[in-house]
Amino acid sequence: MTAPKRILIVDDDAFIRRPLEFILREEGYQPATAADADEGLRAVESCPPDLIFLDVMMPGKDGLTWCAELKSDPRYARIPIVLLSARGQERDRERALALGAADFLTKPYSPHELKRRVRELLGSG
Amino acid sequence: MAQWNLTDRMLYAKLVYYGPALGGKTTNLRVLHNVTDPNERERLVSVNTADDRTLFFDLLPFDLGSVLGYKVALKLYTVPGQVRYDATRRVVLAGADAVVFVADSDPARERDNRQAWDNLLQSMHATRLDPAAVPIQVQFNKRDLPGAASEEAMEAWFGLSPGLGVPAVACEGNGVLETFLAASRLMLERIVAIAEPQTRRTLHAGDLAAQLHASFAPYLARRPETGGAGIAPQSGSAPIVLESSDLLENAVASSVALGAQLADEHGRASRLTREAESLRRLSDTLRSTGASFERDAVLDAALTAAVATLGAAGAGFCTLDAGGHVRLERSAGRDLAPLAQDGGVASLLARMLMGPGPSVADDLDLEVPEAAGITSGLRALAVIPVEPEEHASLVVAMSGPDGAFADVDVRFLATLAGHLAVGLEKVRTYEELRAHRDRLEEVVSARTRSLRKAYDELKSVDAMKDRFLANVSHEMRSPLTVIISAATFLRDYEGDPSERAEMAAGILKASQSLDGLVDGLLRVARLDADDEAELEEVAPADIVADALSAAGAVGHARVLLDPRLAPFPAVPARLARALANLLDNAQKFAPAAEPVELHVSPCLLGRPGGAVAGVAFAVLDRGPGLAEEDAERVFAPFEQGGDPLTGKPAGVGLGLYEARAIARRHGGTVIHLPRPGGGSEFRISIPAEAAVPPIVKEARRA
Repeated sequence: MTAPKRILIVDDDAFIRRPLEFILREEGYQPATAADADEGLRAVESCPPDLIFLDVMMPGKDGLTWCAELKSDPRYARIPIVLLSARGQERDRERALALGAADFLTKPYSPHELKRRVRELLGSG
Repeated sequence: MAQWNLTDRMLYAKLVYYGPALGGKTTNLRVLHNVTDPNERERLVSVNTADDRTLFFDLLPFDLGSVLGYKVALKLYTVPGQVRYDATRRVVLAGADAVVFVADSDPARERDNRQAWDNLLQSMHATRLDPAAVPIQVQFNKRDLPGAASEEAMEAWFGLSPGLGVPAVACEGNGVLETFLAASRLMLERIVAIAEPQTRRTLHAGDLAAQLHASFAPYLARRPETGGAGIAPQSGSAPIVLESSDLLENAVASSVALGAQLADEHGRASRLTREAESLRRLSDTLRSTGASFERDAVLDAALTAAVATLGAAGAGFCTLDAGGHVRLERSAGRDLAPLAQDGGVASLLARMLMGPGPSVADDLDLEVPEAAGITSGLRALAVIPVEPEEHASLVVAMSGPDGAFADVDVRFLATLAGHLAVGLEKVRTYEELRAHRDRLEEVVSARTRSLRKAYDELKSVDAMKDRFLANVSHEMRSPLTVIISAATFLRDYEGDPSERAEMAAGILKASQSLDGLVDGLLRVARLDADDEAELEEVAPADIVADALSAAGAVGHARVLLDPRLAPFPAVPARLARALANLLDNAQKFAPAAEPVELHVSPCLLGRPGGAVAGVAFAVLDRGPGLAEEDAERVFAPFEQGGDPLTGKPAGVGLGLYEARAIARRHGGTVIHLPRPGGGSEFRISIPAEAAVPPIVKEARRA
């Protein structure tokens, strides 16, 4: 049996991180959380995740910028990133996909939809 | 008519002997013929019937000698006396410069004399000789008849003043030269009197009567010594004798009729020529006025046409002003302005302008003798109304002694005035259209401006809608994400009790956040509907307490309340809400170490009539502050400064909008000030006076 897939959740709102963290854990994944890009980068460097859920609007470096940085770093470019945004504008979605994001989901999302995307990207936990 | 030959210094004149048949006219001429110098004697021409009656005329050329420097050559004629030769008489009489009427002293012939006299007057009238102007010398002939009528009786026959008739016995030569001398003198005096000035200037000075007497002296000297048979036809003056008497009269009569007809035709032809010329001028005028939309050009065309067509001295377009004064707007030819200014002429003009139709003053010297200086050279004045302008008229002045307006001239001017009226009406319509077009352009540009404004407003409303959707969607999506995620976990997974409690707390907080959002939206939506709220006297401290509580800032904000403040009129719940909004914002941006401050103090509010006392609620923070360009923008609905750290909208952007709307309904406002040392100050200022704020008052009345 392989080790559980690691999923990093980056969002400045703890009330949004926590339910996602619990659900992914219950589904057999190994979730980790970060409140901003700096914290997220430390997590990626210490133990690269298999998938990153990344909020777009965050204090400090915003999600799109950090996504672009990770995709241009050969060490982390292969890690699929799913961007989450409370802004539903189509151009945000296009920009995210152009940067190499695996997907772009608009809040509020359904946790089951999220699980399906994770399975598609990683296989079952 | 007398003819002057100024070069040869000759004067030709015509003297006609008139009178009843067999009265002695031809005898008079024969006597005169006999006394002329035989060497220079000209042939006496007589056209007689076989019985020695004058059929057509006798003609005697007679050299009177020199008078006033001119040689006077006379032609003496007799007319046939018989009643039926009327046409011949008139032909011979035509153009006479004087007439000698030879009356028969036979009392039995009174009737013949009277008829001949009447016939003379009729013939003169028919040949356009004025009996009052053309001299008539009467001779009482045959004074030697036994039982001859007295001179007084004969004077009565003709209505003559006493002593005017010259008594004569022509067959004896008595009285013939005296008659001729008297007639010649009357005739020459008149010819000189009516001569043109330039002719009169060529006359030598001297006494006409004396010179005439001198030239008659040789003839008087040759007066025939013997009477009676002595006056017989002489060999050199054999009369022309015609057998048929009526033939000639008929020929003369038909010639005269033909002449009259020709004269008629000629008159008609020249009238037609003149009318054609008038029409051509009119059509020129119409063409030139038709091509112009300028009032002055239209007036000039008509006035010039009037002057040119009639040969007038000048023409003008006049109106009457409100005071009844004549105003000359435009003139052509001689300037008529002095006429409009001179008292006498102006009032004559004004009277003519007031009249309903064309009016003509034929003789200005008679009408306004005192204005001879002004009207000098002008003879007649015509005033033709130009409808529909009231008292507007074409005024035309004629010059020279013969200056006059014939009917055809007045008709021409009336037609011209009609054309002018059409031209002026066209100009007026054009002006109106132009003014209308200018107004229209103005209206269109004003309308364009207001459409542009409406468009800009719509665009800003559209932008507001975009901001609303962006802000509201963000503000709703985050709590909804929390609720959906946490509720999904609670429903589908066990978790441990602490985790379940944490999820429930998240749901609760997100729900409260949504509730606050909806509440805020509803409050703003109700802003306009809430004008009925009553003002009441409220203590500033109560407002502060309610606001701190609503903003969840009790114990967090530092409050400085000026103790001098008295209760003031406000709608407490709403003012507290406005203040709470400011506290909410300040807390969002204030760093934890630097608590929000609330200062409440008296202030002055600027008003057009002078400053009024007010209460100021200042909320201060040490947050990042506002860029100067955002200081006003943040008060617009759905605008907000956003979180400078995350770029996230902080709230839907209605707090400041609502706060300012509430402050304004209290007669005050909310402004932003940069806080010295960093951060922002938002200050509500409202009047402390009991005066009801104007907006609330208006809303109540409505």
